[in-house]
Amino acid sequence: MGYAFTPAYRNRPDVAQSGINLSSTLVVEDDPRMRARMVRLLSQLNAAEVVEAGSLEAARALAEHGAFAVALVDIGLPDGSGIEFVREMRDRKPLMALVVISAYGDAETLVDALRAGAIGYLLKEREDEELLQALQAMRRGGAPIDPFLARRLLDHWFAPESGDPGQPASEEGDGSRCSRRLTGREREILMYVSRGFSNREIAEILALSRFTVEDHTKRIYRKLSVNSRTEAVFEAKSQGLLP
Amino acid sequence: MGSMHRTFRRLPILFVLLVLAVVACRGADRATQDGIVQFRQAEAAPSRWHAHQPGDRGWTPVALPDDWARRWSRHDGVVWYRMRWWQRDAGAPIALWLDRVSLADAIYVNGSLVYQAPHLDEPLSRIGVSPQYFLVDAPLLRAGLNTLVVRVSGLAAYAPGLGQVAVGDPARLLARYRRGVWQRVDMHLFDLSVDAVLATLFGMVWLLRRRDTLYGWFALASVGGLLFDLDFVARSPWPFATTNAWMALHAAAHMATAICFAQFLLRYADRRWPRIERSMIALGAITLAVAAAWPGWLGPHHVIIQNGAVALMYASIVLFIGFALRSRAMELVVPAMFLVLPMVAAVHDSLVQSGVISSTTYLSDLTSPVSLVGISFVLAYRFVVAMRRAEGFNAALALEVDRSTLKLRETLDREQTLALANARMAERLELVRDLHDGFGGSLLGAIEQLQATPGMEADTAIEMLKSVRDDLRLVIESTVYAEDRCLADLMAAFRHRCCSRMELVGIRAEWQFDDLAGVRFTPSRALDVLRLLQEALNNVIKHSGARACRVRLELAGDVLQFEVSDDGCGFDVAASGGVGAGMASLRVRAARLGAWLSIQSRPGSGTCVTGTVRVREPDAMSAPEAVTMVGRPAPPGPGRP
Repeated sequence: MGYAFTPAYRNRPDVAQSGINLSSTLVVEDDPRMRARMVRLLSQLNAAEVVEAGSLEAARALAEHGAFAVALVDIGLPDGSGIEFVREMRDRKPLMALVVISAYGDAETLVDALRAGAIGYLLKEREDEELLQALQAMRRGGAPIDPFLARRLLDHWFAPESGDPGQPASEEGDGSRCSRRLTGREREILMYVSRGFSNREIAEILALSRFTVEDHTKRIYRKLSVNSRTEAVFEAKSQGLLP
Repeated sequence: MGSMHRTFRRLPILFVLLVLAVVACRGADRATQDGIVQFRQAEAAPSRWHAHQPGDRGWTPVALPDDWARRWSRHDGVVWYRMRWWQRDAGAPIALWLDRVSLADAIYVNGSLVYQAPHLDEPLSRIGVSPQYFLVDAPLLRAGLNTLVVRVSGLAAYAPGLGQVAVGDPARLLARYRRGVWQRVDMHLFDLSVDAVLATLFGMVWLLRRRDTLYGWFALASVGGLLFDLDFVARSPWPFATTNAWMALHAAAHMATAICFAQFLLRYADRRWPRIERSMIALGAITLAVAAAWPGWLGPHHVIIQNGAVALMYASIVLFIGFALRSRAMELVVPAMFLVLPMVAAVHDSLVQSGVISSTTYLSDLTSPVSLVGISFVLAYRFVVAMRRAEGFNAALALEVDRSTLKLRETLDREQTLALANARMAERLELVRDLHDGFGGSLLGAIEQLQATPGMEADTAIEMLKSVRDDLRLVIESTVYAEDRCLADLMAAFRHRCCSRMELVGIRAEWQFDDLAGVRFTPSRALDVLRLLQEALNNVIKHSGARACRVRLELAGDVLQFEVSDDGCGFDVAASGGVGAGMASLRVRAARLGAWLSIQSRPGSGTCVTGTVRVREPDAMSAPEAVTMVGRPAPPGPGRP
């Protein structure tokens, strides 16, 4: 297995361990009103520098020359999918945190985005207050998650065809292979989320801090992304594209 | 050949002339060559059945072979034949050879009995069909003049008399004897066995496959042939008491064989002549009946029957050859070739019997093995053709099945595609209807409200649009997920959304819906249930100012009980008349669901909305259940964690 490909996140402890940094933000969104809304929300969070892009092309150009700490990317863009941009940036700008903005928010699309390397997502339909809360959570190092997505993630890890029938790994195992699996705690959290419990409720039930719960969900996303990469490498190797 | 017989019987003068010519050619009454004395002439004297000695008078010179019926046409009984020869040396044994005798004989040399058939009167032994061979030695044999007397018992109707006779070198005569036995007895024994085998084999084939009458006729023809051949092999007329009965059967069998063979040829050539066939079968049946009923008449007249049979046989063969020549099909030509052979042999034999050709060999006796080869070829060929046809049929069938399968698959694919397209179209229409019924209603309501309230404040308008947005979310969730997710799953998403909003305004919510797994509503009913709950929660979030809220769903049999209660400000149910705030739309939702709804509230002591709804849709005709709104006497106190 191409474990050499997995340490992308190991090189970015700032993203993996702490939250996103809103000092410089790139907003990729084609709808000017939505873009204005995101800018307004970011300014409420005291974001220092916010740069806007209305298309993938513009976003690529900006990302090439500027060093952004975070990018908020809409999925449905006029010249392509935001998920594409997420995948490109994951490899080319490993230090940039990627958050997806989705209009509809179906679980399939979100899982694709997370597998491509997004560390979180925002749903446009949510109230401003809710979006602010989500961004704040991300800044703290957490990640929002909703029941449908949680259920889809559980399916992803525990479906028999995934090839690695995920008996919940004990605690953080050694090596990358074990890191692909969910820990018991992570699975537990996903179960609660899928049943509609809020992070606060989960934190109360599990006697954890709310931040810890958010941190766990973030770890889950990370594993999803790592998994998708190792799967890709494995696939490439089996087809003889890699040594 | 029979017809020839008769011709000659009617023309004795011609016969005598012919015989005389033959005798003149040969020039002596006995020819001596290579130590063999061949008797050309003998003296014959008739006598009664039981005479033991020939009389001294009445000896008539006759030429050998002799058929006494030509001379004494009505004489049934015994005729003595006397022959003499000069034996130079009696030191070595000599052989005595009789080619054929009709029918039973006794042989005397110099007055002493050498051989006697078992039955010299009826039922007459049928010894004379086969050649006879004896060794004679001194003292019976004398040097000088020896006398051979043959006593022949016969019937005028069956060509009675004595065939060729010779004495002399035992080795040479033994060879002659053996050749005769081989031709006239062994060959028929062989034919008989073959007929028995063929009759059994094809009889079985026919029994197992009645449709192929071809094989049935062939089996019957073989049985007839078997009876015919039996005449050359049997040594007595057993089981019959008389020679007449035996010959009657023989003739009838001959006729039956001819008829069955003709039928076989017709079937083989794939011809059907029902009238002629019926006549033939009737003729055969009558012949058999007459043979059984009046053997004494039919026996002596067997020649008529036999001639008829032969004529029929050859007619059918000629006809068949005609068919074969016309069709040129190998299936017909090859058997036709084999059928020409016995005809040639028959013509030859007729000429031999009539003396036109001088030979003692009757080819008919020899053609049977050749015919057997022909018949074997024909039947094997048919069998192979049938097999090939079956194989070809199987191949064609497989091909046809493949083709049909392909066509069927294509049809099914097409139908499936069509069905899929139809299903998709139906799904889309359903979705459109759901959107129209669900979301469209909210949108129209919002527009109506905006129109009815000119100068509405922005906040109110935003609230209204947000409620439309929430409704859209519910429509999406209930439409997309209600089919494959149970109410618990829908509630999870709903709870997640509401929680986040209630947390923002500082309401602590307690949710109880643990036993809802597996409960499924139709999408439209699920939507209405969620809308009802959302409406109630919206009221809590916007108007109650509550700190805590409880949402409880519980299944009781087929009925879902729900409760949304808060510890907020409450309101005066009686005063509002049930039309306040969000209460009106609550009632509308409940009515749509056919739900029972109760709203209990009093200013200062919270609100409790409870109700029940059937999981399955109630009958369309049943009236919506009552919606009651009652003032609550005392707050039950919403659940606090």
